[in-house]
Amino acid sequence: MSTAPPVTAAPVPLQPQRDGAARPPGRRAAAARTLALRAGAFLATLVLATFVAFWLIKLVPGDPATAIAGENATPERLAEIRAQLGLDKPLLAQYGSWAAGVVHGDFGTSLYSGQSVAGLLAQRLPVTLSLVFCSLLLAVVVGVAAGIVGAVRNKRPEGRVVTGAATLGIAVPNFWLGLVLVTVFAIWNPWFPATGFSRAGDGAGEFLRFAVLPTLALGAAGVAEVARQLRGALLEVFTADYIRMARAKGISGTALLVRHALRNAGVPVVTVLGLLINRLVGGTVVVEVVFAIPGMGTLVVDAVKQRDYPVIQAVVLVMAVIVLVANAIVEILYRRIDPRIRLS
Amino acid sequence: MAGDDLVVDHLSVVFRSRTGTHAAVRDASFRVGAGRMVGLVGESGSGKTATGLALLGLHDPATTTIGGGARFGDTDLLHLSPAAADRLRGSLVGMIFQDPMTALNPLLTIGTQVTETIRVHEGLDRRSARDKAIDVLARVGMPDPAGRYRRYPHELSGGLRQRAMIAAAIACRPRLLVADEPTTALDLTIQAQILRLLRTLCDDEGMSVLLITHDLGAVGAVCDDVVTMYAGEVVEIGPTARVLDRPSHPYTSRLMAARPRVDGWGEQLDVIPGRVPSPSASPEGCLFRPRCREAREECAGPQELVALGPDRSVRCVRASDPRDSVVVAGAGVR
Amino acid sequence: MTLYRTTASAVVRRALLGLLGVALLVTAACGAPAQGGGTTATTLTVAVSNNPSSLDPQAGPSGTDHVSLYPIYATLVEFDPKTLVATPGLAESWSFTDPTTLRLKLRPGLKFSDGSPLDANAVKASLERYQTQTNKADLSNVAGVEAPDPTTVVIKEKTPDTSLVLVLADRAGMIVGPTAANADFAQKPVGAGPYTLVSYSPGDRLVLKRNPNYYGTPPPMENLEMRIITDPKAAANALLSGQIDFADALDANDIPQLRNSGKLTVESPVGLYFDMIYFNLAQKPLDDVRVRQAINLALDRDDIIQGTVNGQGEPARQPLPTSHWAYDKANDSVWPHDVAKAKQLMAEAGYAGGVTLTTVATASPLEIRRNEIIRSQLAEIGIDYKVQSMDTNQGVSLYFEKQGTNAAQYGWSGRPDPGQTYNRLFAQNSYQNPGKVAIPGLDQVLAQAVATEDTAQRAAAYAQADKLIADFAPYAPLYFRGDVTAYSTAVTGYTASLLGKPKVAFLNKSSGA
Repeated sequence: MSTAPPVTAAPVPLQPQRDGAARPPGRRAAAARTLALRAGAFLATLVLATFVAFWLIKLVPGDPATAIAGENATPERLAEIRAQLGLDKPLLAQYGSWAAGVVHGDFGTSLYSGQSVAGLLAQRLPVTLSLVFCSLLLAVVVGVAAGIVGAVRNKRPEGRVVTGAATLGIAVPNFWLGLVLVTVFAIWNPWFPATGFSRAGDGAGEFLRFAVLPTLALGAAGVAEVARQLRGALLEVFTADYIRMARAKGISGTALLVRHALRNAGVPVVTVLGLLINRLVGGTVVVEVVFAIPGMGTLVVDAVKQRDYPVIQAVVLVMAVIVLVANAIVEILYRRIDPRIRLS
Repeated sequence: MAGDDLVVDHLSVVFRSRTGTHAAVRDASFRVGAGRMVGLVGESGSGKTATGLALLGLHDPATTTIGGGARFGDTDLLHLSPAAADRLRGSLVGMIFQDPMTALNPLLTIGTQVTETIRVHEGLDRRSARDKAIDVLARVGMPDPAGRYRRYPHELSGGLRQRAMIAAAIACRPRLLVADEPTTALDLTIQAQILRLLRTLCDDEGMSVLLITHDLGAVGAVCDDVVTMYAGEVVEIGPTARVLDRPSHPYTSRLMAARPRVDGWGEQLDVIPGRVPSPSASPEGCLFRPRCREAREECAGPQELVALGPDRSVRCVRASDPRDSVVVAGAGVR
Repeated sequence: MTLYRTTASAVVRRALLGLLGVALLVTAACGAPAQGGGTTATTLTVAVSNNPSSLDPQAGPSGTDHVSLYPIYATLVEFDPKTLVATPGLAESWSFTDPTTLRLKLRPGLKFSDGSPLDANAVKASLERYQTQTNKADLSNVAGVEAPDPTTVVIKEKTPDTSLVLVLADRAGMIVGPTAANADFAQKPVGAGPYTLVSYSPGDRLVLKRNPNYYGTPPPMENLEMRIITDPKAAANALLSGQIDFADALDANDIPQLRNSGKLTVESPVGLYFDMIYFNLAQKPLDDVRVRQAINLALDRDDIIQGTVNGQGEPARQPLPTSHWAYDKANDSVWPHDVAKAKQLMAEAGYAGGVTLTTVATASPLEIRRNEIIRSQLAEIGIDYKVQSMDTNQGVSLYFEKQGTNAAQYGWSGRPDPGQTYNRLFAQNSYQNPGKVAIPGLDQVLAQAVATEDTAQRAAAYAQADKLIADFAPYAPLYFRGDVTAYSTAVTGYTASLLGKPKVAFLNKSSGA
């Protein structure tokens, strides 16, 4: 197992509410109740995700004790380590003690290195987050621009280029793209570093130089996906009655495209963004290994190899939180874009 | 306000596709007098909407060829630069559509959709545009216009949505309004209100209205003149009262017979048998001939639009034949 | 209906400009040509193939930590990397004053990198702490440590064992500084090695600088940067792009590309690590020596080396490679590839009609390739070799502890002293001998081999052991795996270690590169 189990939270089904003019008097109370329900679901998802991860890793009957005992392991020593780590206790009890620790802010220590897991996360999380953020930014900026070109110049050379590139971009696996990028832009032309990462806090120039290739490798599929979705959505929106109506009012150019077409095409694109964040977070595992980036991805890969449960658990938890928060943001975006969607 | 006439002169609209061409409108000529309300009637596929869209330049030039002419006063509606066309749409010529649910942008407030017309044409600042938009909403009979200004389309009833769309279309007082089936999606009482509203705009503001509809009842209720189209051709033109009283074209008579009567719910509608011919398969001679009960030999020859009087013309061989006086039961709808 | 080209052209222009802008930004970002952070004249940058489990040599369990530990810690005893013969380290000399007493003489005036004195008491403290830590098993035969004067350390053993000397060249001999008692010692380690740690970001890099208090010749480079790159392909890319100067544990498939770059020296030195098939001697059919011999005769070792590691290895017929001081040439003639003889032995053992052999192996592409080759070679003598590929931890526990399979296909990573290797692999009560079957006469010979310090005598004892082992065939050694290593042509001074754990502290890099 080289990746964390997929943690996806599909947005709760959203119901367009007709006739919002009639608002129930207890609206505030209802909203509070909904919010509480959401928070409950959020927590339940986290518990489920971490428990399933816990259970899955334990299903594979490997043993961190053999990793810890090292080269000169004896059966007695293994048993001693297992007892020390509580690995001889029932699964639920092990999960329970882990969860209790987390609730008190204690993520435990790495079985492998003995370092505090919270400390490891503090080092690795910013790296992965900045990589995911750059890739997302790339996907949105370039994807939206390309999607517009693809739709407005549909059936013209520029549009065809965009469509072809998008189809290609979705099909290319990120590790392969990463290796190609390194070969071309780090080895043949030494423009960018082949491996490693520089923190954003240590200077923007260095950060950019190190981030460009992994961001491209991680974000290319996202660019393609956003461009493809937006192009499709725009082409559909272009045939809508309200576009014709807007044109009949004399609206044209940017106002027509941005206020009418893009906004309406935005809803499916936002859905794609939600899924994209999930995929980007998962994709860091592969891309960080290819570029030897010290982020959460390489952390979890090593931790899985070493059966380092506390680290795996913490990474799963953090990734689940990222995905859930991203999905919550997506839902807020939905609401901002489409007034027909209300808390139901 | 000195009015201008809309003069449509041998207008043709041809759609091109990979499979061939499709003449949606051929050789259509008619006139909408200043401040008058003209009904453009016919079944689906008769070319009414294609005519309306051509007047606003809303066809895609990549797939559509437009021939003939259409002038509103001094303005040639068919040969404008894209920028000039954008300026005229919404200010000189406006258009409203059948279903306000789909024709209003679901993501924008009513206010925004009215205001944007004003802002794009009159360059007003946000505040004045807003005040003006609320005035316009009031003018189209929107109750609580300031409150509705902030509402989204889905928060309004069908009738109010249609009023909102009209408000957006007429906010800059266009001299001509093309109304494409504006009442079809509404129930009967609301239909009457909307028709009355259009008539009022016509009477009070001297706006010309081209009412595209398949409903002769609606035409009878509000229109000064009527233009009947069939399979892309204009087949009859005349003042509403006289046409409905005494239709000269068998198609007009059959349309009248097919219309639902207010007192006749539950009755079997007198549906016209057959279908509008597909333009590529159009027969020689009168296009209506295969469905016409009174078809005779001469109908196979070419048909011309013949003037029966100063304001009346018809495309039917019998019209000029005094032996035939078409009598239709239930004529005279007013 | 589509939007007209004209109506949206402004936006399209802007969108196209946006795309161009991103491209420009990317180009601007590469304005400064990529000079890897460490490739300056005074800094050597090397790749470390594993995240160290700890920078405290006494606490970390992983056999791959040494690469990171060697520069920080000096060991009591050093060794010749080519032969593994012990040489002076912190201790300038040593001797067994009796079979269970090792007396070490320290160099005078030794200091840790923090300036505190490294005397006999410091060594005593370090060794005693070792006996309480994760790796305490290494010193399980040590009864006590004494420091009679500042430069003399006396180690008392429970039973005679001269392999202790080379144990002190490994983790146990890495003397930790007085701050070892601190909780953050693994983050701020103090030793007496050629370098001292400046900063450590786990999973990323160790930055080191020359230790001014080092006892020996100072290392040629002022700074040493060790980048943790666990993926062999990433390490190869870092080498090819000039980001790093040295890497080992590379993928044999990348050798052509590395060679063709023209700026790297590529070698595949063979170390102590060898791959083998472990036999459970108590289970049928491996309880029969004829079957075990037949397997060893049926294996075509050269074929396996070609098919799995692109020829980067050396056939194994004893547990030591050819360059080792205790290597016995007599074993070269043991177990030639002889299918006819193997078939005959199988028939004599009563398995003419064939037999099934279950085994576990790690699930990696290389291992799976190797399984297939071995499977087809053994099929020729009627053995149905059934491999279960699984996670290493899982497989180790299945075979060694639960005795769930007849055999296991794993490596042996080697030990500085051959005594450790022979004992672990073949002694009756060893963990690695799950059947607990004694090889007749072997335990006595192995005891003799560690009862003397004399290399020639020891080598003779191991040759005798090899004879017993070859007759008993308690395992099927396959090959010593070459450690694919590449370094910049500007780098000099590299000698591969038989231990397979590169020592990089004394690499030199000419500034012309």
